Amino acid sequence: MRELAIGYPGSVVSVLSEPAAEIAREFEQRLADCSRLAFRVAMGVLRNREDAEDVAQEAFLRAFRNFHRLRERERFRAWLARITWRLAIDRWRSAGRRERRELAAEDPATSPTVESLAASRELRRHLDRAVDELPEKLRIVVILAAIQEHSLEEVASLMELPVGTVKSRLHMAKKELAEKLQWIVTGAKQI
Amino acid sequence: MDCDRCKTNLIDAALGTLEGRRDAEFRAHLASCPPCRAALDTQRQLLAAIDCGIAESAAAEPSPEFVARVRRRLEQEMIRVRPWFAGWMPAAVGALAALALVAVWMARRATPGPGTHQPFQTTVATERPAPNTGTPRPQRTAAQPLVAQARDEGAGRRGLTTVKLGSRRGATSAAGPEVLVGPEERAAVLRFYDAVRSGRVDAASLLAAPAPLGPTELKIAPLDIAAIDMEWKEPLSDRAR
Repeated sequence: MRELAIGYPGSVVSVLSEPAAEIAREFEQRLADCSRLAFRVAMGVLRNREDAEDVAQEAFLRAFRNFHRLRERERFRAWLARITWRLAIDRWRSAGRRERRELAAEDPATSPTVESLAASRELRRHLDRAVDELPEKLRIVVILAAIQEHSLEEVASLMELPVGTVKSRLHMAKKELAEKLQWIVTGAKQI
Repeated sequence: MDCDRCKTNLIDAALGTLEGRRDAEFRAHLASCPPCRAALDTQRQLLAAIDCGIAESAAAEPSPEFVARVRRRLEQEMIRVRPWFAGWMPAAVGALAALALVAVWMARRATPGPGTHQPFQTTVATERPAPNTGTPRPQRTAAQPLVAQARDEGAGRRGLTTVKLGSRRGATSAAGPEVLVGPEERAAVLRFYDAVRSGRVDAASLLAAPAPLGPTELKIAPLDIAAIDMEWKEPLSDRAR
């Protein structure tokens, strides 16, 4: 089989056989296009840069191993987003319990005002916790909709769901978040 | 609409999802209730803070080394990646192994082995000059005595015996005709084969077309009948008369 001399310097693409090099070349393009998406999906779940990069990297590796099975290559973004989401959720479940318990113990006794919370890290912490408690199908919609300000159509495309379903899930998610954080407004913390 | 009912609709109103009659009643109440208007503003601020917080966490950028690091991992993965035909390798190896097993099995069937085969060898002890049949006979030296072998086939052939003919001693697996015979016929076949090979039996005459077995023409020699001398004699009655 013919050897190719393509790719970035030192790339093993240059010593791969032609079909494998073709796949590698195509995947490299996908990597450049979707690295931010994978990282942000992982970050939306894990909220830790190192963990998110770890998970995104693992997602790319898995996608690469199974890239030849993906018949519709235009669905790569949605496919990668789902792989990343699943890996991130697994990591979050296995490693995040201790952190969540610690966070719960640190809840403030007094209720700050919305104005003071809006720009503070406290709101982020409470918000993150509320997002974590959302059902998965609502949570992924919230995160994907926030990433790069995806439109409803783009989120629907990534999740391969009807736009109406995404819209209603996004509304339900925001309503649930607002209800969970209502104690900030009313001053009575909800357990 | 009173204030309590208004509060239940605050979130939906802040999200902008109130519709129809509910929306009209809610707006009418807000127009006359400054505390509910303030509560709606607070809800809007909360939702804005939620959107802002989620967007903030979703706007994080990967480190500049991230792509390079993924690329390095992919390179390591590619080194281990198998060529396009690697997916077929397990099947190919399996098929080759199966073929090898079949070949070994067939070879074991073809060659006599200890325990499974019962060699039956006859060696031509004496040589007789072959009758002049006109057909060339293969030359055989004393160092290569003719050997015919027999081995029992398994139950699959119902006790039949394969008699392998024409083998040379020391080269028992050489290609030669094999004859399937019953166990009681084996010795006879081997003796017959030795007789043919040694010239005691003329193979050419055996192969010659047999005489037709139809009825032969009956040839009957004509009877040799001598002439009969006939003498006239007077009837007895007249003489007596």
